[in-house]
Amino acid sequence: MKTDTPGQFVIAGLGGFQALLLGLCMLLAPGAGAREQVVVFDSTETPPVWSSSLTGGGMGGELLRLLSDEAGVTFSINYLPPARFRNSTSANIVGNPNLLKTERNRAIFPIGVLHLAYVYYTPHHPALQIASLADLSGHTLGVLRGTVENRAQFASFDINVEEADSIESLLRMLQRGRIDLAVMVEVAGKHHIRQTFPEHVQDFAVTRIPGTSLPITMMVDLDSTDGRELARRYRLALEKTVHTPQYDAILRKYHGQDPAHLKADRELLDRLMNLYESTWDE
Amino acid sequence: MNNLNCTNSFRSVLRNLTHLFAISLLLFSWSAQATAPRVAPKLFGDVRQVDVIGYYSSQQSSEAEGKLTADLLEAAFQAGGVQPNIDVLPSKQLAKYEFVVNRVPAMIVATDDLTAKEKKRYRTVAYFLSDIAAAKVPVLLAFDLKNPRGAKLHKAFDKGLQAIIKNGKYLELMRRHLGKDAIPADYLGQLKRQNPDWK
Repeated sequence: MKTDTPGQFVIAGLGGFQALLLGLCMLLAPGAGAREQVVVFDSTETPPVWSSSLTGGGMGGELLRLLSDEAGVTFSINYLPPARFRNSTSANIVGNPNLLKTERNRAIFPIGVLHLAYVYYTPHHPALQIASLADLSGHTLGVLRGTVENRAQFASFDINVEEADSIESLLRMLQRGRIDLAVMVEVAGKHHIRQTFPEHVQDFAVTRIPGTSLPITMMVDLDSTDGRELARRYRLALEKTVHTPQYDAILRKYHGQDPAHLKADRELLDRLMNLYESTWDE
Repeated sequence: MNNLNCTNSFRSVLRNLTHLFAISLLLFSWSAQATAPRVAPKLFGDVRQVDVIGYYSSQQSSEAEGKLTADLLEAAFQAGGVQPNIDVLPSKQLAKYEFVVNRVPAMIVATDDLTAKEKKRYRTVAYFLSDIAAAKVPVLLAFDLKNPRGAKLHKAFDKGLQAIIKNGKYLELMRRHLGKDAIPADYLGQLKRQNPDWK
């Protein structure tokens, strides 16, 4: 008998009956099956929030890891293109629930928040203060394609709107002076600036827009097999982890060290809990 | 100028309703950056803060009931002495997000939109009973009293609604939009029973 692995070696050293008994005990051990089961979450590849190429899977990935470790759940993430994500019928999904077209009896657990920011290139604009739409008059605003609303109102303030297919493109347009400022998710903007323009990080100003928030959530279909049990474990885990230093450390890593931001994010998270608690199966 | 703004605020409800289909088309046409957020002029603080949020629902009432809602809100708030800015979003999910998370002080809701816990958290005023023949499905304005603007709006709306019921304006609007014979005899009594705080 080959004994290439430690497991095989152990089993090889036992008699047939003992090996059978050991195997039976392992199968019957409480929770063994649950621990070995891998829960798969559908997601989009949206660095630095969800990303297969970042250590820990990005901000959302790290938060999900913290929560899953507490819940005793092993998970993996299935990254989908945006259109497929919006139509996902998977039992388990992570991301923004407002984007999903499919309706399910989903328990939604908020695990983090994102904010929008406007970004500009300081060599072209030393300081851009925007308190009203009129402050943008005569400027060109960059946005991701298909996301702009009410173009006529922008036009009425003499604001030109340019579209691009990616955040990298928007940042390049800023650097070349083709646009004056661009709107994007704050952490995504900072991430892509570091990735694409490591020599010019200081040249980009990123200003959070107050009152804009997007949820980072994990969702479990309560009607799926083991869905209610999984939701129960994650709910308890969320209660235990959301006020820990480990949780705060992940927020600080991605949102920065500003204590006012951390406080604001905590308040937002509480409101998100209020919003989604009706979806939990209690 | 103020009068113009006021009229525009209320009329924007109707205008928004008519544009919602187009907005929905825009939302569902996202492809390359489907997970990106919407960029609207209001991000830059050009327009007044939204005071009351509503949502479009294909299951919701007729066009006549939509116009009635806009007129009732306008009349009640005016009678209460405030001029709120009303916005209508394409879905309940988005509207509720704005109400709960981004702290819009008031939201137009059906009774089923709020859980028992939420009904305790927010103050509600029933201003209309849908399914008019049976006068049995309350449509409410829910106010977040922890929001300073919410408390002020609640006071104004509650007071104003009772005032227009008392002076006959409420029934006049009902008859104008739904027809004289559509309103059950005990309609106002039933509406008052939905608002137990009323004298």
